[in-house]
Amino acid sequence: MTVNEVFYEDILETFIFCFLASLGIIQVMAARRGWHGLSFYGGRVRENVNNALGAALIIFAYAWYFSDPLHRNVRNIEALMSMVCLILGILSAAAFSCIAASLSESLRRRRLRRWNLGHGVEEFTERRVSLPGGTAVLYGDPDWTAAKRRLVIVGEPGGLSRHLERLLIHRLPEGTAAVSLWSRDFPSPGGEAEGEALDSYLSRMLRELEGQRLFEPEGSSFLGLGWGADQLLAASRSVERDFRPAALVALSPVLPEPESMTLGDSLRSNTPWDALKVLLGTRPWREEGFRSLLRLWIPPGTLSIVTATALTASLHLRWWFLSGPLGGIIASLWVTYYLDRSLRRKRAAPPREDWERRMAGRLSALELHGGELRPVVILTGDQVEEHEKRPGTRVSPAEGGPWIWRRALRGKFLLDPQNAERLLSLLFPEDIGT
Amino acid sequence: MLDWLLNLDYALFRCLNGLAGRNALLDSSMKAFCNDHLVPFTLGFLVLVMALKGRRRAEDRENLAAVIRVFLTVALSAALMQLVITLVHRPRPFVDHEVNLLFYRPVDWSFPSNPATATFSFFFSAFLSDRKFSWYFLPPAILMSFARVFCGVHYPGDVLAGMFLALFSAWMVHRLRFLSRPFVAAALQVESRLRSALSLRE
Repeated sequence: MTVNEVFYEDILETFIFCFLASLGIIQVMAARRGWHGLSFYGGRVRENVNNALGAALIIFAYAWYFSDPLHRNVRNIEALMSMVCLILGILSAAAFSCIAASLSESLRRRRLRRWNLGHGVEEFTERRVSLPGGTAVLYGDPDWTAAKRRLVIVGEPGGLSRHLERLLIHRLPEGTAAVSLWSRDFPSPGGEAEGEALDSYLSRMLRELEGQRLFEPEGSSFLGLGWGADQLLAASRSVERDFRPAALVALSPVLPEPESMTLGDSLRSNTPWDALKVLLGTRPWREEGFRSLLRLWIPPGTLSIVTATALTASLHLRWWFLSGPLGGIIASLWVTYYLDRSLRRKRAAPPREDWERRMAGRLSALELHGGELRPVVILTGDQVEEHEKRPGTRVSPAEGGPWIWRRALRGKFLLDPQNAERLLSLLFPEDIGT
Repeated sequence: MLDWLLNLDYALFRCLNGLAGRNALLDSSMKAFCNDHLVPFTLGFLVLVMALKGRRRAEDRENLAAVIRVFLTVALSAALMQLVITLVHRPRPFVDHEVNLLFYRPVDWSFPSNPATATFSFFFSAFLSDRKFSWYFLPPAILMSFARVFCGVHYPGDVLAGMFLALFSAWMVHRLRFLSRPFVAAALQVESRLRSALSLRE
């Protein structure tokens, strides 16, 4: 073997060691934190399994790496390369955990859907209607006039909760007409929809459907899912006034935690792929703040990358084509931050407030129990912490307080099959019974 | 004065290095701690634990800032150490003296101790951010620094200089917040967008 081959083999082994040990640590910490969204095997985190898996990975990594005499008191890769291996190992372990958890959860969901369709639940017809600002999907028999009961689902923007909607509709009692509405965009704080209350969008879509004689919202039961539940809560008074609904149910709305103004923790039940889809749905690249920062970053970014690359190349640093641009990007982030601050100070503009804080500010104005009908609010297990910090948390469901389903997970709602039945019993109490 | 200090340093070195070769178990343990990889990587993994150990998101955000400061401290202390190495050329103990050498012969200069600088950078930076958790960083740092003298590759003075550099770097990074603020702000933005992306799925 040449010196170079030994060097690269050593780097690879060091990287694998860091990767395996980091993977083990992430699994142990996922068990400790109850990050169900990071469980490798789909479903819930099982603490013992994760701890055993994590410990095994850590022990194996150490035993394997240090059993090689090359890694014991022999000069090998230098400190800088060790640091690079460590950082890359940690990042790769995090990425692998995210991919494995998302993949296993998506397989579980696929199995669940197949199982539902293979057990006496028939495929049903769906009709998609484009409406101003969103989409409506009509399920089942389009003749709503013959329906015994009607259900309006306010889904998550962009149709993110579509699979859950379909699985719920499979379980609806016979003779139920259902429509699902999704807004195209996520509510954006400070955006165009800020002044225009969310309720007007819901009413507008329903009126449009009514006008086209596709659905009759009057007297229907209303169900909001996730972000759609926030939209339904915001619109609850006007829905009550305009459509006199039979029931209003908000399932797992996004609730801000009043102290830290955070919206919750997606890792508690959502897989990283779910979170990424929501993130893409909010289209951060279209926000004015992001665009202005990008415009500001381009000149110093280009200059820093070119300068750092030239410097690392002239100094013959190892892997200069990677370390140069990376160093340039890091330096340009620093420069851009202060450039932005000084420009904002010059223009007397207020400091930037992040998206989550603004959304939290907006959502904290939501009332969990509003008009005469009182929406039924259901909180899932991952929301208990946020909920307990809100005022009036001791109010029982009988007095209009929210229901807390501790075992239910927002991102894996049908993991417990009885959740669907409980939900339907709240939507149609007379038919199904509580 | 300098001669007196160097003599004292050498006397201390002889005292500690003289313990080598007397007990096989002690020798093998010190060789393990002297290893270039065992302690630094373990400290790196402790930083990962530090990043994930919080109980709530608010704590996670503080820990994320602390982790960024740890890495900045390590980078700053490494840069300062390189500067000192270019100015001060002190040969390794085994070059000038007869020593009990339990380690391979490093070819770079002895002053200041590279491992002591790196490991104590982890400790001091963690200490300035999270007093309680930082104590986990101390035993590996002390053991590695001691083992370097025990195995005959550093003088105690090199280790002390490394500790001082680490302390100074950690103090700089924590005192001059403007150094870390842009990176902390960027990391928190990413954390905020990813962790608040909640969805009701199935």
